[in-house]
Amino acid sequence: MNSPGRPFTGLDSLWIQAAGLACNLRCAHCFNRSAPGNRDLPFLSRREVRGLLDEASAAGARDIVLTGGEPFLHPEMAEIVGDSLSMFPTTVLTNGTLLSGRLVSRLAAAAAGSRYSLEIRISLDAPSEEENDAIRGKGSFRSALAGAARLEEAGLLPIVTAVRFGEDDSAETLEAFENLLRSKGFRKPRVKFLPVFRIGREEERSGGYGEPERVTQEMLDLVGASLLLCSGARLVTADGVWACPILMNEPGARMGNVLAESFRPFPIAHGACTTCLRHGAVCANAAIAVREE
Amino acid sequence: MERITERAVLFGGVYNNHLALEALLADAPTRARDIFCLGDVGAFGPHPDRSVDLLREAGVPIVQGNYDRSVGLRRGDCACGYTDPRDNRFAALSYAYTFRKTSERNKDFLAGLPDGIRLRGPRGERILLCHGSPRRQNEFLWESLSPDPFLARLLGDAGCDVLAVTHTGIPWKRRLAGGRFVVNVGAIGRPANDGKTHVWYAVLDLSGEEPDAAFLPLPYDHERLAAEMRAEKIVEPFVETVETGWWTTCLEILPSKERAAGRY
Repeated sequence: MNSPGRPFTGLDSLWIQAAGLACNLRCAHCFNRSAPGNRDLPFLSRREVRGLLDEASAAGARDIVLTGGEPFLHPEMAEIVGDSLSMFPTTVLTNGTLLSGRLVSRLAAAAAGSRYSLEIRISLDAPSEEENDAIRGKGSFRSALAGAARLEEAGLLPIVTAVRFGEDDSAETLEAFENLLRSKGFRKPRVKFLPVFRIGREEERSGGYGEPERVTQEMLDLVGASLLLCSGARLVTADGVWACPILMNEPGARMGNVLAESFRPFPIAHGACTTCLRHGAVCANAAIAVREE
Repeated sequence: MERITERAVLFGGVYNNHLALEALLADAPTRARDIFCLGDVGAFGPHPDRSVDLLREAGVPIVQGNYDRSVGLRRGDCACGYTDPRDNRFAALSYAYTFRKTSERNKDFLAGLPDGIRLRGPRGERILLCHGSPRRQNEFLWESLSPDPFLARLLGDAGCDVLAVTHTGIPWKRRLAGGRFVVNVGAIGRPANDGKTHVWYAVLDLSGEEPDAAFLPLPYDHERLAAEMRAEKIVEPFVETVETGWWTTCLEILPSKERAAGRY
């Protein structure tokens, strides 16, 4: 089957999987199977990340996204965030459970010293402890909320990011999240939704993408190229460069060994791409990715 | 033949604020001979035809903004570039009002605006005026989301040395290596989320060693604008912004630094 593609329009966002697949949680829907003790992917050292920042700068990138696994399991993550912020607007995707007061102070100092914004996205998958912990593990709700509250107190305005499974009313759920955050003293609650990707651990839970859901040119025409991460972003892991963070376990999405050789069109060919096409702007910080049907 | 410009008044984001526009048109000729509008004549203020008519009568060259394009092409939404439903809900309210109240004649006029204006500086500097970014009419260029190499790439791709944009509503400027320069001129339609009721415009100055821009506060009769908005039944959060200088809507698109600086 010929796969339709979109041109690569230049590197806007560089995603860096500095913390491999190591995570202190084992979420039921995790698309890249991060888990405690997962050593399938080595960490990137601070020096390696610095090299990537220089490459991104040479390519005229707009921002950096630090991800994992859980980024704050990386022993040098605070320094890496500082390095990144000295050059780029920077986003960190975290489960929020490891945000000690000391770490938050260091992040706040790095953010205050930068001309660029630091966005910290904290994953919570439901506005109630019971529902959230059923997906993300016991104790994760309280611990993530406590981390988010420390960021809020330090003026860092975290973005609570929730995976939506599509069966509920997103406007109602959004309100429930905002109310939860307001009740914890957040003056500027920020909430973002992500659709669930039926790959990784979620594939075992709900079944993967079937053949009929593959991407067609018609679907591509419905969404602007600027809303597709793969037309302006790449993910770097210790194992190479990938078209997007979601597809980092898919051999077909590996774009090369080094960043420079990945600046070419990605033939949008995976079932997970249909989720991105349907929702648009999935990974943007300001995006609520679950469209009203 | 491109026009040579040494100093120019640049403003954008009129958002139907015909009172601020009147104040600007009175003030601008004392600052520079050349005056350019960077687009989005319509949005959350009252009586859209008044602003379009003022600009047409004054003969101000206008770059097309996303609002102008949508209204002109009779599109269903403003194409503001928001991705959050809370932002889009308010954007839809002001778009519906502006669309309904803009005359067919003015819609045709907006449809025909250019999406960029190119000028030459006194030393041959290539100047580009556009609405969002050179590559996308509704791209937001926020100060805290615009590293120098990224801006340099936009300038390089667009073939310009000096770039002026609006769209975000908050003014900023940046000197880049090699005498290149970027300015976001802010908006005259609503305050800059700084708790002040005045609005901002810019004077681009290419007479010195390096390009520069001055941001000038523009007071206008904001109380009268608020009264007109209420008389038109424009929703109260929009009026509050005019009266207080703090943004109340379309906040989700803001990066953390810009969001932290405001009240909401």
